[in-house]
Amino acid sequence: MSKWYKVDNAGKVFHAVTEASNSSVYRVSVLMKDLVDEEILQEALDHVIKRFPTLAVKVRKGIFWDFMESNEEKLSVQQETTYPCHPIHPKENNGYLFKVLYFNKRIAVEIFHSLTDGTGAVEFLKTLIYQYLTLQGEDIAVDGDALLFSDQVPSKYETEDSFEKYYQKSTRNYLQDKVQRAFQIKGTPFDPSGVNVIHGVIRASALNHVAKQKGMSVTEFITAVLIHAIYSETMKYGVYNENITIALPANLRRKFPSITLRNFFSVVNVRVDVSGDITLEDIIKTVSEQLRSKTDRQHLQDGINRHVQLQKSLKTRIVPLSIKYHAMRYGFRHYGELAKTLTLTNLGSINLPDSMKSYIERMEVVLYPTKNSPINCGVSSVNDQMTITFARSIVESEIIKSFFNQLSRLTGLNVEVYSNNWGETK
Amino acid sequence: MKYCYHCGVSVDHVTCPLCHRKVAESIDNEVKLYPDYPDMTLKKRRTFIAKIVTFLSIVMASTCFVINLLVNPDYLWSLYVVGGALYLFVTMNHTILSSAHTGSKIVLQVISLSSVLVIMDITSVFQRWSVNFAIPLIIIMATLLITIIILKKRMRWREYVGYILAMIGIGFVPIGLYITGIATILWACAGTSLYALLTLIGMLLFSSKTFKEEFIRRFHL
Repeated sequence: MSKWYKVDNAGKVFHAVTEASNSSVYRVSVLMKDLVDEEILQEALDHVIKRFPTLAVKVRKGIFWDFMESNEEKLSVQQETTYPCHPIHPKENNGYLFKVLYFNKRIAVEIFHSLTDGTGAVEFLKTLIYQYLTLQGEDIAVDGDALLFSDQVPSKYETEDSFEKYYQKSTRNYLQDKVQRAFQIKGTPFDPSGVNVIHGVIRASALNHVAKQKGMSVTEFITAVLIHAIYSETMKYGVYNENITIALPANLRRKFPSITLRNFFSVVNVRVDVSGDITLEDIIKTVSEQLRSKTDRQHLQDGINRHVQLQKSLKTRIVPLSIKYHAMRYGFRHYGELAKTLTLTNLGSINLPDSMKSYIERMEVVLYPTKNSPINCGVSSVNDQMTITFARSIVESEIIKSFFNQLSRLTGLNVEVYSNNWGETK
Repeated sequence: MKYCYHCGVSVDHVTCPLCHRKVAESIDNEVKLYPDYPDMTLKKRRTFIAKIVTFLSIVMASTCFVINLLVNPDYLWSLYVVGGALYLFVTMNHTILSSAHTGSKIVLQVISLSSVLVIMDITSVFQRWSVNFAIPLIIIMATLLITIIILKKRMRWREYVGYILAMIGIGFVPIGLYITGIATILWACAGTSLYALLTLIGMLLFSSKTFKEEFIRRFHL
């Protein structure tokens, strides 16, 4: 009998809110040093897929909640032909909610967010690349637990819903928490609609050094520069009562021991009021303070409780799914989307075995834009190459231009920029 | 690698992706980083046809209804056309054009076809042929069709459990119509409900475990 899984606590919302302008599909990809061989990649995928039972699933409709059921069909690798984070239609993908794509030197995994978060996606990609290189006849030595092997039996800890595990009953009613409306980036949607990505590559160690000199982490530094770019390009002149809020997904595994390959993240909102003239130094100070206080264990525990509390109440559970989805869409639009200006996710430095690094140029993370958050940003680094990727669904790119301009000016480092050119006249 | 002095970044394109200014005459990229995106209008065709069908259904139904009201409002013959237009709309946009599950297409066909036939019957003096014969026959045929699909798709029959349950539920509608006096032919109504009951018993007898498991999955809180 096929196995089935309940959708995890963070994943449920993605089933409700996904639509044409919000694909809920993100991408993690690596640029290899050599061209990708399709046949070997397919063989590697066939080996690896069973190792990740919570990814090898199809979604089924339930009366009160959707659920995932193991998928026995073949998942074929596909050559990249459309823009990143394109909506995934399970019917055209043998029921699967993720894709493995290749294009010249790139191997990309695009995943519907209900399956897993960035950490889970990166683990899958690492195992896939390892298998791919091994099948190519490369001798890859792996020490310790740098990656999961395809012949290992999946541990039950990898398939657990860690939200349930760390949830603590609380008397606080999280629904009464007030949500502050944040400044929203407006622009002209691409026609035909699609996603333009602009990657900026910078030396990770050098950027880290610059951030350390300023007494902050790389994430804090990038967040501050980004807020300053938004301020200087959109809010410098005029009277604004809104604040700029950057939503930063936090990997909960860092504070709550877990090796789950399903979603286990919380979102930390860093908010800067820009009512008067504001300098980068002011922003840096505010960002550092907030990011440090909001990523402590208690704050993140509140995030877990908030997520789980609502879904655990009997009142929520016995309401039919279609009504629940309407309520979730309303909550997403009014409490999630309007409370942030954009999302910045930093997967950090990816832990790869040394023997694999020589085959990989760099890594990219593309976070899907949404209607109210038409520009989003993904960051990751490998081999001392940090890639900062902006994905946007609107024509206007001033904020991105200003960000990279300031980044290169403030650090004195070379930033190498490339794009998929979606929406550009050829 | 070229350099955009305006943006202060290195660029591997003819124009800078940030400011769109030209930074090179040509770029000899031996390996492209992204594909050239082909025309993506093909996918829109299906939506276009669906819109045409919707518009035609509305034009047909509303024109006939207005003419009917103006010419002879005592006899609402336009309801035939309204019913037909509704059925055309469901058949084209759901049964043919949509990528919905076959099970849901069958169930929706049962509901829409039955509704159209009832409208036609009521419009023409209500001789009850729709509730006495047509609806029971449609329900039996649809239940039989899903049963055949399930037997053929053994490995994936689980996907049809919800739809066969829906058809079994609908199978008891004719006996309800007889009890309430809307339908008048007992053997047709009782036969349909008996057929639904037998299908349910057959399912429970031959695959009770799958049924139970499917029930737990679909109804988990």
